[in-house]
Amino acid sequence: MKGVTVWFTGLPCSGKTTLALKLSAELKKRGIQSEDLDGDITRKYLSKGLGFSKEDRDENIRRVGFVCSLLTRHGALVTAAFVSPYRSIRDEIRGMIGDFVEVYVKCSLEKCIERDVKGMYKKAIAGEIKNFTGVSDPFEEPLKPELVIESDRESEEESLQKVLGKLEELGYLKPVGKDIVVPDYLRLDLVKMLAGQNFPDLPTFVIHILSQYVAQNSGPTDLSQSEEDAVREKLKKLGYIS
Amino acid sequence: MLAGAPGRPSLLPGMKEFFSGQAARMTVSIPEISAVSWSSFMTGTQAGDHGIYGFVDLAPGSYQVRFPDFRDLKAEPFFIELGAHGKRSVIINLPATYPARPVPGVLISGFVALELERAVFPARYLPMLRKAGYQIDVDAGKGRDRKAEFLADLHYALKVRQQVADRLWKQEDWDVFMFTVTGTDRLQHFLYDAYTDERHEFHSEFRGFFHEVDKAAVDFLQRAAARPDLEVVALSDHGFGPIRSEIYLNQVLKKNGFFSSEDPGAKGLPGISGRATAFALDPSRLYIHRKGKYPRGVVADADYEKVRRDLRDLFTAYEVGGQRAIRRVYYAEELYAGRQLAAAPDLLLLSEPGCDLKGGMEKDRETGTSHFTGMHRQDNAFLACSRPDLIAASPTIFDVKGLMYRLLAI
Repeated sequence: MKGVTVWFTGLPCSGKTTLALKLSAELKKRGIQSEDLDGDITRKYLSKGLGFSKEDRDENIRRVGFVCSLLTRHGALVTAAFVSPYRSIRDEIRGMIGDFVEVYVKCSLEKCIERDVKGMYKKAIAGEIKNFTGVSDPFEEPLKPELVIESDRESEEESLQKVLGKLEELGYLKPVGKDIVVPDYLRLDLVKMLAGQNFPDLPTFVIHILSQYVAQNSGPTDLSQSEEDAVREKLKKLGYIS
Repeated sequence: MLAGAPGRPSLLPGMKEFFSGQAARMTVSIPEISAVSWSSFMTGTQAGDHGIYGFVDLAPGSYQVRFPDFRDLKAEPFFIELGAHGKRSVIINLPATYPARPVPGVLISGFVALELERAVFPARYLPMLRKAGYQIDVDAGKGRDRKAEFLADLHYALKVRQQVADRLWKQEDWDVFMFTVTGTDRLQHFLYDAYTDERHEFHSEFRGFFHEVDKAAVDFLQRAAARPDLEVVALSDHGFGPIRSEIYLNQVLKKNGFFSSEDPGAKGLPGISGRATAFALDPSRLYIHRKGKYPRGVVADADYEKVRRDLRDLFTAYEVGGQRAIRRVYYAEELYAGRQLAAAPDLLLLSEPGCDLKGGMEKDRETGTSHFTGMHRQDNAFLACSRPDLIAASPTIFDVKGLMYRLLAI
């Protein structure tokens, strides 16, 4: 599979990390291990010492972008959830990474404040935190993101499906079929058939078993009268039956 | 057709050149019809193992005709068996594979498939096939009296099949790729006379269709040749030749006292009388009307061998227009062995070239002609391979699966 960085940008508490983690969990179900990066991790290990001035913020994102570019180049699916408020640095890392899907997690300031369990917005409004995006520092909305999520209007599941759909549409994910319920009797029959078999891979085994199952359970030909008539007509036209 | 009829150039010169003239003449199953021959090809077995003796059969213990299909095949086709070796196959238009079963790869069933929905595995290819205008077969009815339209349909079906094959060739991950052309069979049944008669209205159209088939075949052969990891096998499931006369076996049996109906108005096999000792099913299968096996069966076990011998004598000596018509009469066990032997016909006829055998239950005479001008032949099919050293000295259709497995190092 081709690598890609899914970059979630938006105001603090807009739902970026929540959505990135849901995406990561869904990918795991599909057998894809993603690399998940967010501000809490990178500010501890990658950008320790950087502050929240525009320069420091840009430098933080540049370093994260560089890590993303390495991972992406080696085929990883990276989720990155960062406020990343400035358009110019987002565009810069887009160029650096190449396979880059920008997801703008849009949410009203009121809703973000309502969700703010750590009370950061409150502190920012009180002037206790400087350069806080949305309060004392601007958030420059993406002009052409690949996807816009309206996290104050959509359910988390709807947002997740939109992200998955976009990644499938862009060819970074293979679409999956809908789950089908396998009846117990069929499951047990399949398990019995599995005993002692040695196949190179699971899909080959499953197809082989299905084929055997169809052959063993279809019994004698059971054509309807109209099907019989259709076969008879075809054979007569070619002189195969007289 | 690779070699051409006696005195005529090859109809498939590109293929002939590709194989450097090393194609071998191959014999096929008896009867020499697609249902039996292709079943033998795909399983590498004869009908005593795979259980397909014809396009029609009788439901056990009755005179009820039934139409065996892929569900009746009792041996494993190579494209399913190969899954156990981790090999994937793309099989396009293979007769006798309807309804399609799950296979490791792709299967598009050929004749006598009815609905495209049940002729394709995996079903995800259905929209693509529908969009491309894929046809399982042409309407053979047009071959009788709407020949120009019939030819146009043959070209169209071939073109679309080729496009689909092209797409699957590139798109699918495969170890075996098989593309079956059935249009040449349809064409020859109705227009074999156009091949041999240069003044025939459709002579150039006949050659033109073969030209298109040759081009399509060479295209795939050259693609394969460009890849060092591929080997190529080409074959036909039977040969072809002109019809001199049709022979209606049930009428021959009737005239010679083997077959009779309950009353003069009785139609078909269900009307068979309790005095009849034998009957025939298309195209060349003879059954002894045994007591205990059929509802009105009359031949006791003690008399079985005598009836069988009498039938062999009758057809061995049978002539049409002063010429011998039957090359050989076989007892079932001379051709078949295996777990399905009990369902085999009691005797099988192999006709001389030009003598087209049919059941002919409804006919009122022993021989005749019809709108068909070409018939299958058992002894002039062909087999070609990019490794001609692996072809047996006198190859049969039962050998082809083994040849493929050798090429696949299995």
